[in-house]
Amino acid sequence: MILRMPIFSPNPSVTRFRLFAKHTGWGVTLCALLWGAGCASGPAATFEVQRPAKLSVPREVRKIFIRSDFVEAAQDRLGLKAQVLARLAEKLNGLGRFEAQVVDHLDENSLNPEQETVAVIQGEVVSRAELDRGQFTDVATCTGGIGGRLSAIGAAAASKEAITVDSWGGYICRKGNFKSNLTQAAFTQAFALAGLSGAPPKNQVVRTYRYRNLSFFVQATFSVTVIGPQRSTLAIRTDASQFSRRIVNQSSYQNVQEVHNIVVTFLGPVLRASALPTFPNLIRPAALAERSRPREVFYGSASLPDPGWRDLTRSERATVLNGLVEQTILGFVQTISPYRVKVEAALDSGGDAEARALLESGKPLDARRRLETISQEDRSASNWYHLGLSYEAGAVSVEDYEDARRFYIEALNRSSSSRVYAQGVGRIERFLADYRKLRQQMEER
Amino acid sequence: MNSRFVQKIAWISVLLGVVACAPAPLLTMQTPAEIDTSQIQTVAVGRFEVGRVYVVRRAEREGIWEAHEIFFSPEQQDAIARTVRARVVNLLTATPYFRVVFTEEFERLENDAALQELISVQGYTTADVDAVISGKIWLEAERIDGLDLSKEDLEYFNPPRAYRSYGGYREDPGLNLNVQQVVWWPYKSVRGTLGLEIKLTQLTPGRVVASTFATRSYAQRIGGKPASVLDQLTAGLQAGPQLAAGDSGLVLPSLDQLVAELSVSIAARFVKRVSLSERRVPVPLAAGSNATAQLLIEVGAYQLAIEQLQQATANAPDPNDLYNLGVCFEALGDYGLALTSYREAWEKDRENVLFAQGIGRVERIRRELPQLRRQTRSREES
Repeated sequence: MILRMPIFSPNPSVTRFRLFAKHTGWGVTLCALLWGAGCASGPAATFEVQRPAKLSVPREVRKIFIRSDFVEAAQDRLGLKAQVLARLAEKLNGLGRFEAQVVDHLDENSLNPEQETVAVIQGEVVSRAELDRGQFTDVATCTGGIGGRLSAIGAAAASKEAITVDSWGGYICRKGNFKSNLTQAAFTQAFALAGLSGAPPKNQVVRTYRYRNLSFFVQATFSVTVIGPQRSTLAIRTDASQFSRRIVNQSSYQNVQEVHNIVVTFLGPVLRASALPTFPNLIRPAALAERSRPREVFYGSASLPDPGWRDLTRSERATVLNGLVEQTILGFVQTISPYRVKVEAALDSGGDAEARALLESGKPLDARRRLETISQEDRSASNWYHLGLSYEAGAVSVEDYEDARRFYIEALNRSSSSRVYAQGVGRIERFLADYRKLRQQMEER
Repeated sequence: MNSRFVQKIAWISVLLGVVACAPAPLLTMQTPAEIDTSQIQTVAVGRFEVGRVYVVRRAEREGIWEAHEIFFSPEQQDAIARTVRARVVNLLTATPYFRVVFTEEFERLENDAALQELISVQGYTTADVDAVISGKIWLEAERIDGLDLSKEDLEYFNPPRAYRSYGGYREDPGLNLNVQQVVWWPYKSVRGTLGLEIKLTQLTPGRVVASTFATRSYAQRIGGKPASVLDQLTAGLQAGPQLAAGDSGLVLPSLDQLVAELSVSIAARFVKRVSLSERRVPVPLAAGSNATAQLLIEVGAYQLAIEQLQQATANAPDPNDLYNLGVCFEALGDYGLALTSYREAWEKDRENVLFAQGIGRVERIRRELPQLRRQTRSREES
């Protein structure tokens, strides 16, 4: 351990930091505003559109049997097979193209391929979860004084940092990052202006804390085979989804070495008496943050355990697993069945306010009725755009989309530099291109 | 730090914002297979055998390392192989170029030698299959629970203050010093390498059409001694894709995730060699006289942009508008009209690199077209 020359004056770095924080604070705010203004869009209307399946299943196929007995589950550690298959059937039925059912067994001899063509889904479900426990170290800065304590608490609360209290003066210790340090500098400055304190006293500490890392993995492989006059495999697809979370127990934070204690216990008298550097230091406890060395071995011979109820509550676990199942089957569903997706389109800030509010609240037909009461001559660009949006959001036929395109073009004719209006035209052009493919698939039903 | 510096930062941010928000139209381009596989339409999925799976967990305490090898049963090894195979099949079926089927006969074969022998003597009974895809994997992964040791400067600052003492005020000069401490920084890390050999073997005539062997590695570390600000910035710039949703930067990926991602990376290269592939290419626009048309191209409204640009160029053909018209035709796959428009633009401004690039792009596509058509026609005929 080497002690550097003590400086008996207020820390100049505090003043420099204040200046930096002042300028940087403005700079960051300015940049954030500019970025926000550049990329952000206003309120949006959300509506569903249908997209074609990525693969055309023959029109004769209406019934799909999901064969549970042909879905391998030896590596399904979380026991999700039944849930995955049930959700797959539910999803396919909900989209209307197929009648899907999960069966435990299917006697293919009982099928008459000459009379009815069916499809069979089989595959594999793999799922796993693991809990990885451990201990980490960090170095935290503790600040004292009224202003220093309050600003540390404020900054820690703003960036959800763990705080500890040092053993000597009750200073508030936090690790800090760019954002929270800026916040603390702003608080400190505000308190200094209010006359609460000058540069706050500081004491750095070495801390340890415990964490639990959870990870979940779900993978499903499905193939769809058409059994008709000819038997053929149409699609094979594997999709996986994963979720991970770190949980840090806030009460596990411990200060394991504090500078103040070293200074007071071992070196304080020497330092107070002399401004000279003192080295070497042969006092081992003052040189080693011994308690930052973990005693426990986290990777032993046993395999990593599954997360238990202490790590994730039953409802949280169900939410996570439902989300993973949903995400895992999505790719396969979209491969074989036409599917619906949510489209978000920006609303224009101008035009009839009530119509805009109706679009925003998901009532496109009411918005359409209201906008159509405005004569064509009196319709502003915004109103034409919102009329197009009302047709697109409430579309029931391809003619609605064609009308929407026409209205977007009207809006664009009145305000030719509007990206939002141009996006409307682009969206419809893409939809109409998809529509041809979709029509072919739906006619095959 | 002065206000001029802050202004500079603000201007850089504005420029970055503009660059980040301005979309360049992305055109879908098809690339023919590097190897002629037009004779192969139906591919059976064969076995992906396991060469070696070596997964170990290591831990270090008091300078002593302990290693625990994780045992994988044959069934677990097969599951890993199936995960890799599934990713290869996914990519192979991403475009409808091959029809991929599972057959018990080829899947049951123990290894590649058995497959090659079966093909060489034509001993298979499965009909309507042109080729078999098979592979072999080697996997090594280790997870470490270790400790970094470093000297840290810890700060202590007690500001000067005045205090009352024996009837008067005295000055405490304060104290400002750094103390160096030796600190243990526990960390966890994962490192994995996947070697993957993929083979596409044609049945008649019996021959290996394409074969590849490649390795990919992945490494991630959490905890440990915090990197310096400069290191953090460098790491941020060099950061690869994250493997998991959620707290992926804070949690190490599981072995399944690792295998899945690494196999996709290798398989993508192989599939590009044997199958027609699609890629999205950003195409720059020219600053033409018709700003609305430019906007329409940026958002993918090519039909309306063509209408507007054809009107604009009918009377006074601006070379930039002609080039943008070419981009619209190219986006819709009308390469003849695209080339005509690019050439007209270039005739008017022969110094313009953008126009020449447009011609070059379309000429390359047209050169590849016969091969592409041959490859796609072989599918349509089937």
